[in-house]
Amino acid sequence: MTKTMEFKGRCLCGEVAFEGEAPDEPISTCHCKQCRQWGSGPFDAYSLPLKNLQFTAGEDAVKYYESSDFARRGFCSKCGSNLFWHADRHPQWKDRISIAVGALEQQLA
Amino acid sequence: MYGEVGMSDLKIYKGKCLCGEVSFKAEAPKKEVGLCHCTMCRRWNSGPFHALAVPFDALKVESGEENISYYRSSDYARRAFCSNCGSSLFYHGDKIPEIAHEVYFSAGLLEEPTGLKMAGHIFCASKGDYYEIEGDLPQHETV
Ligand SMILES: [Zn+2]
Ligand SMILES: [Zn+2]
Repeated sequence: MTKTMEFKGRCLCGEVAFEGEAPDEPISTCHCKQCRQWGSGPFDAYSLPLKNLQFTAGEDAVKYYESSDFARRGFCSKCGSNLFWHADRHPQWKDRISIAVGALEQQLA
Repeated sequence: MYGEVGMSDLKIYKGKCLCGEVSFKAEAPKKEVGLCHCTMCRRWNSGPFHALAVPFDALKVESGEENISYYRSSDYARRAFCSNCGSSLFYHGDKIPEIAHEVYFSAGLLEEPTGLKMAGHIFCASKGDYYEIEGDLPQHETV
């Protein structure tokens, strides 16, 4: 059995909220210029199967921007929080989504 | 807070959001990039906010002003983002007298190479639990 973790997240203004349970996998950090242009610095992402993500509030407040031929980026239209990177038109990756780690509830250092 | 260098050392900054709708130019004192690890900045950006202090008056919007949305994230500050692509643009403590004259501009927007250096880290006490702050630069618990 793969170890799983429960997660909960929300944007800065609280309009958009989501939760789920997914395999407990390490976070990765993307340093590409697109990610840095989007969120000031590297994008800290938690990747999981798309089906494991459930919205609990404000799904309609998420706006998507098509940042490439194969991917889109979701953000809160009210507060601008960077929320998701989703390669929705990529044959191998479309069933996964990367969530901005900063949106997740977590222990402080 | 963010790094101070000689006021006479002016630099031309150019930057734009991910979709390119919003672009900026500023002629301002050369500064270093500061990282803010507070929970609000990390919720907004996925990780620490990489910012550069630029005088508010020096920041010129070259295109896409109509795409700049403001979110009031506290009683004393607002955050600007591109309403088309969601890029974080700047943090402005507009109701904080000591810093109302400047904005903390997203370093990721800048044309590269930037020629800038990092100054240090603020709000380290609220950093995420999944990373460590590496290096020898100053780390402040708050500001
Ligand atoms: Zn929001
Ligand atoms: Zn944009």
